[in-house]
Amino acid sequence: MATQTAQRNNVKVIGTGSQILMFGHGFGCDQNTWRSVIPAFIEDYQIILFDYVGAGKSDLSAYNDQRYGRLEGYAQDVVDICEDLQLKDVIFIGHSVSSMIGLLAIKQVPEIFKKIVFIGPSPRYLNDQDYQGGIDPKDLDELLEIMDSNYLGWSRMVAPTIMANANQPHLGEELTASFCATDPEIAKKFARVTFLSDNRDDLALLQIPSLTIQCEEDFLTSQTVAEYIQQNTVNNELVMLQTEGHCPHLSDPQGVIKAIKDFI
Amino acid sequence: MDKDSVIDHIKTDFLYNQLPSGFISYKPNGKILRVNETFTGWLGLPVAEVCKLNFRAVLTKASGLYYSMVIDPILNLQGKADEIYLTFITARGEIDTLLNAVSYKDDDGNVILINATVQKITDRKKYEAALLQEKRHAEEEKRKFEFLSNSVPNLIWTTAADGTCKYVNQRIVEYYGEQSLDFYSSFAGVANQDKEKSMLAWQKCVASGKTFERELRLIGVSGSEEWFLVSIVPYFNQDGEIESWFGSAANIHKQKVLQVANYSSLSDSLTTAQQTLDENKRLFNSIALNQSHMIRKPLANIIGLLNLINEDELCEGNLDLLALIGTSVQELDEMIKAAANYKAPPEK
Repeated sequence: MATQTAQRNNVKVIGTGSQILMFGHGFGCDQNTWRSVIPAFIEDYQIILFDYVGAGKSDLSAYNDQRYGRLEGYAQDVVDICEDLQLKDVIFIGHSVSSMIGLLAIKQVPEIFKKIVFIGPSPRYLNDQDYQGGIDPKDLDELLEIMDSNYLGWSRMVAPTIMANANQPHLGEELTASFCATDPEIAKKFARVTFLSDNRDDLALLQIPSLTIQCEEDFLTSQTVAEYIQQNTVNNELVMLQTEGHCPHLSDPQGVIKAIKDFI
Repeated sequence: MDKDSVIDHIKTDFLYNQLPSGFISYKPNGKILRVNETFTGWLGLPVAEVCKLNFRAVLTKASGLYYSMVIDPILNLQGKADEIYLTFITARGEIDTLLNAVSYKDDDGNVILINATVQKITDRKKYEAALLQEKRHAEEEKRKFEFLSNSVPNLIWTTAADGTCKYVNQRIVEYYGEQSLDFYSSFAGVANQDKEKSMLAWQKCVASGKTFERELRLIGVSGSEEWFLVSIVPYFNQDGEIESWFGSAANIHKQKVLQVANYSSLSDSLTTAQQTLDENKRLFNSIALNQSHMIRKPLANIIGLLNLINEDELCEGNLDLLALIGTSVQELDEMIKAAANYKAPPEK
């Protein structure tokens, strides 16, 4: 019987290996975002997939503004899952905002984690004096307005749909669910929390090895930000992928798989 | 327009370039491959110039962020995205649009092309902006209401017209802990001795539209019953129909306990007073009985002595006096008997 945490975060444990890989999805998507990279790890690793509250098949009623008004609330979800499954030596792989969520989870319980992989990370999205996060406060206001304007269309697009999965039956039912399912109202709040977060000081606290995977052209973050992370984090490697976009695990899964395998 | 012109106007190239809809094809990395004249006209740039640009570069920063975070993954995973509101940068400013896009993949499942149509909706956008403003205003009003309802000590809630609970304030959450709204709709937090009657009364109010007002015992997380004055009033909309109900409950437990204590004290006082009266009455009767006996004893002696006086030896004047003394003694004896046998009138 699934525990309360497992139900809340729609936790899935797959794979046959002993080393644990925990994948945290980014903004606007759910655990299905990893479908192109999971097959490369499923034979040799135990894989933990989950949805943050508000995304995928998570328990939407578990959302509350107080807990999820800060990234620490989402990090607590990660910690809860690890403790619920009694995980040790976890390698956390986070896309986009999940990178910093993973960082905060490690800050909270460092003994659980072994390594961390950041894919398209940013410790702070808003520009700040000498720091170029890439986004002005005005852009954030407009982005939230666009989210409002797209509320109906977005809701329709991310509504659950049943899709066949004949090509990859080993992935089971998680791929028969919707892709990128997310509650637009919660996603809007998540966007605000994400873009107003500032985790630059937390980078220095990271003691375990970390890897940053960054696309050459990324509208949301940049090589400059990736280099900032490398300069301010102990034992951080940087791999630049010759691809564009913010989701290399979708646009260049082989590049992401290779970078992760080389690192772990 | 002659027949030849009609044929020219339905040729594919003409339709592609001149239809009042933008067409654009680009790679997943954003490189624009082809674009029609309608769209480049909106952008205010020649076709050749637009083809040198990246798709994301002609979007505003916020639209580019939204596209990268939300639409890009959807196109990759779902293969299409419909009616996406995006703003493009033009030579003269910006245009608001709706974008419909379809992605195409190679045999390895990688996206290789995105074809999209773009509809200009600037005027419609203004109308939507006004609607959005109203929505925000309504949300702001809702937040104000919630702030106000959380700042008062009362339990506050609202229900739909049919009585189904729709909102509870923070005081209720603190009083009952985290509960579903069904918990409140079913009066689950009302003490058993008040539940059935109050539910029936509430159902009558919902049916009749009359205000509900009662003193009820509620049981919160503490597990103890507490008295509340519960009031639920209907809110009528402009059409005179009940749109919702506004409920509030004030904790009157202390007053109620004090009131009950006062009633109890008054009752005890009255009982004590009655007992005192009864005791006094009994005492009075006892005294009256004893005193009558003490007073009647010498009187009986006087009566006996009067009987011993030889009336034959008395003159006529003394006989009259003896008769008067006898009459007075009898009258006094009757008075003492009456006083000793007095009974209080029955209580009303």
